[in-house]
Amino acid sequence: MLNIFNDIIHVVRTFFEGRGWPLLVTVALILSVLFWTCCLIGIAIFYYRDYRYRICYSRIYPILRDFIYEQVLVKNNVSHFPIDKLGLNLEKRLEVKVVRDILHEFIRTIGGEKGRSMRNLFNELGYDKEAQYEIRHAAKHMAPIVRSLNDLALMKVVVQENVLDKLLASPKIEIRVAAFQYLLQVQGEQAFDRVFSQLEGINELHAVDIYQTIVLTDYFGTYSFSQWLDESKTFAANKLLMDLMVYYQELEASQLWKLIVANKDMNTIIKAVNSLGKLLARESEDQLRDLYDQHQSLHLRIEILKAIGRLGQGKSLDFLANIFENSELPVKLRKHAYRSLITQRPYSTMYLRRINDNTDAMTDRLIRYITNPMVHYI
Amino acid sequence: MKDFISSIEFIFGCYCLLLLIVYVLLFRMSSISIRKNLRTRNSRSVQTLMESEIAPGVSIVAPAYNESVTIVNNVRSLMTLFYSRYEVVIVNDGSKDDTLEKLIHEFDLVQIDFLVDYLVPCQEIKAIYKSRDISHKRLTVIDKVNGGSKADAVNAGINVAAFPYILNTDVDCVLANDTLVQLMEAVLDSKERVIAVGATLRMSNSSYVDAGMLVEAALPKAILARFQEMEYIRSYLLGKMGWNYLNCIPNVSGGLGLFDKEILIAAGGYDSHSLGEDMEMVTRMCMVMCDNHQKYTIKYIPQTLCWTEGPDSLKMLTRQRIRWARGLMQIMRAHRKAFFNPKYRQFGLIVFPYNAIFEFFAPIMEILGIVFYIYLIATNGINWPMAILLLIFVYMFSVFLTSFSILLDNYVYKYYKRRQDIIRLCLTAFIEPFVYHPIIVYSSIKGYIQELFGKKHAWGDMKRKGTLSPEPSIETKK
Repeated sequence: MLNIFNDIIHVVRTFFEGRGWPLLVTVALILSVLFWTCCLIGIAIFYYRDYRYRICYSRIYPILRDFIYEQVLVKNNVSHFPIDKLGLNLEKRLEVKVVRDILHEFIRTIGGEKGRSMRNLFNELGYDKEAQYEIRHAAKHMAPIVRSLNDLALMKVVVQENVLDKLLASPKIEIRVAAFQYLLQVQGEQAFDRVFSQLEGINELHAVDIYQTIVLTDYFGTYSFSQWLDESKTFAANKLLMDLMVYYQELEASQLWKLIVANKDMNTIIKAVNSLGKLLARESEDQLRDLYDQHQSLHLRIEILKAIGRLGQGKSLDFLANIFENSELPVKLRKHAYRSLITQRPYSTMYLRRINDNTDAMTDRLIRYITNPMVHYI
Repeated sequence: MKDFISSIEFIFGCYCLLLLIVYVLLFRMSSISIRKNLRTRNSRSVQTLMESEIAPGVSIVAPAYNESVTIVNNVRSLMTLFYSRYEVVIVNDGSKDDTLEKLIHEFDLVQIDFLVDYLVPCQEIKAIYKSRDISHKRLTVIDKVNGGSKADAVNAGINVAAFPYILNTDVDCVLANDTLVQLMEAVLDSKERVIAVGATLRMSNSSYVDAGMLVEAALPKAILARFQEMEYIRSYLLGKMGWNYLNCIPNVSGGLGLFDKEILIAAGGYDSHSLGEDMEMVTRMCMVMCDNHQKYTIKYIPQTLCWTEGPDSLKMLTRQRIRWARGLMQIMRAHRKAFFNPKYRQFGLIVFPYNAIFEFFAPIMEILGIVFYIYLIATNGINWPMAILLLIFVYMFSVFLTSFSILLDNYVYKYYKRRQDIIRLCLTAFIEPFVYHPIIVYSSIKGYIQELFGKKHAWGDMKRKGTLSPEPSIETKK
């Protein structure tokens, strides 16, 4: 073994003592030139692709725009569009891409019944078949699957259960989230259990995506989002559920308190307190005051003050006034205490008058700042 | 003597070889990073976060000093970004011209009573203005005593800002409409706490800018600005995107950077005495996170979101680079405890040593290398065929790296619609090593000497061209 090692060192040494270095540098030089040439070819290809796209776009856009204006907006056609009149060659990949992009632009801007007609047009142009094919066969590529799922959701085309199961079990979170969004758009409330039981691994951005998908559907009901709250879940998953609880005004204070008591993640606790305030959990006011004393976190304390302000019951006036009058506390905390006092009017009128009567110049400036109608964020 | 020369040759050889390896690694890592970013980008719609009411709030802090020519258009541009929750905090840093008066007149501003908690140090805030017009409710204008540096003005903005994220930019920068969405996507799309996000910057010198909005991007006509454009593309797309892969980004540019306000304040805000305040700030933020045993991420995104007017005179350029070099030296000296310190994890073991060895020492090594070369020529100790071969290789390698950055730029998005712009940019790569690079090395060495002897730095004024943007191409006009 040692001999082999010595032989290798000997060969390497002789290589570099002889013509090794020049040879190595020559090879490196040739490689550099080769890579540089590849870069130039790459730049040319990218430029050409973009150029072709722009040419194709400028050719198709007026045709499609006029067609949509005539068929959808003027003639009010809902389906069976005379797509032969368009004169498009949808077997060319570039044209397919351009038409899709243009249609997406229109679908984004046209809503209501006309929007539905636009989606039918999208379907009749054959995009459903292409999307169905992509989700079955582009298994390794994330972007086409996500795009196809979005298109299918837009067209409200039903996907086979076994294909959907496969997508929901994908190791790539982006594909799973796209599948969630598809389910939510196509099946609505029926998909809630299925989606919320599989939220592991989502981050805050995915949570925003799912939230937006739900609030933009027609759903308005009494589904219990709070049943899925769990301290073992990530902040992103719990935040999504709490945001939905607030949006649909599902007041389930006990579940939120469970989360606050059991959780060690400060972000989750802050979010839960924020939700209690926005949901007007009136029976939580005493517990919120207790929580204020238990924690030192400035963010949490501010959130508690805001929540008490939102509840507006006039039960914590001494508590809020004491915080505001304590000049040793951070200004931010005092600002929110005062703003919460203002929101408790008329209960707090006496307190506010007392504070205003006994104030020094600095505090007076602070009060004027908070109460200024032009100041929106403090 | 022969042994001594061999030792020097060995040191230079190792240094160059290490640098070569680093560049090859960056070449690979930046490709992966950009591909990953584009995959995520293509799989979601920008509109989702743009329209979402649950998106985190962002405070845009933009200091202005004698920006009278461009201030109104630039503030308007900042007020029309696509995002649901943000405010714009303009800091008038004791301007001597009519910057403040123009803002008051244009946006119907009135002075309001205020009390500021000085969480990070800055000069006294004289007044805060808000608009009577409800459509400008996002706007806050601070008038403060001039602090002599951008850092001081940004600190004032941080003290007044209401939201948990701070976007630090220059008021003369032109931002893309979806800047906030793209930067916040990077923040939210992470499992660890993201303390800072940056994006690519480039020159707006010859681009068509109308009312503070970029209408058409064009390659700068002035050769110095064009060199800088190329340097920016290489530095952001190859350098920063490469380091992004390892979560080892050394700096988030002062032109455009999104920061976690809590960490920014915990680190003490910007240092108004530093000449490289943006890099110094990021260094302290990383150290604060490591001191508190918290995991963190700094991210970069390859899309160009900010267009800034670069210096187009040699005097201004050298002055800027001298300042950067002095800033780097200050950081190396002030935070030397991080050097190969395992306590500071990837920052102490990769970022700081790389900056010290390959950023700070690079100009010194270059000058020493040239001196050594001259000595070898004088003593006839040079192997000419090998030396020429090496020089050609180094030159070709540098051209290749620049061309690769241009390729990456075209991969991310085709900013230049005109063919001649791309051809000119590719050709600039050939002359850069002979014309531009010596200027940069000279400025760096001069900066180090000035810093060493404690010479006072003069900031100098850069004249804004304002509305003198060139006409758009026929295609854009159509």
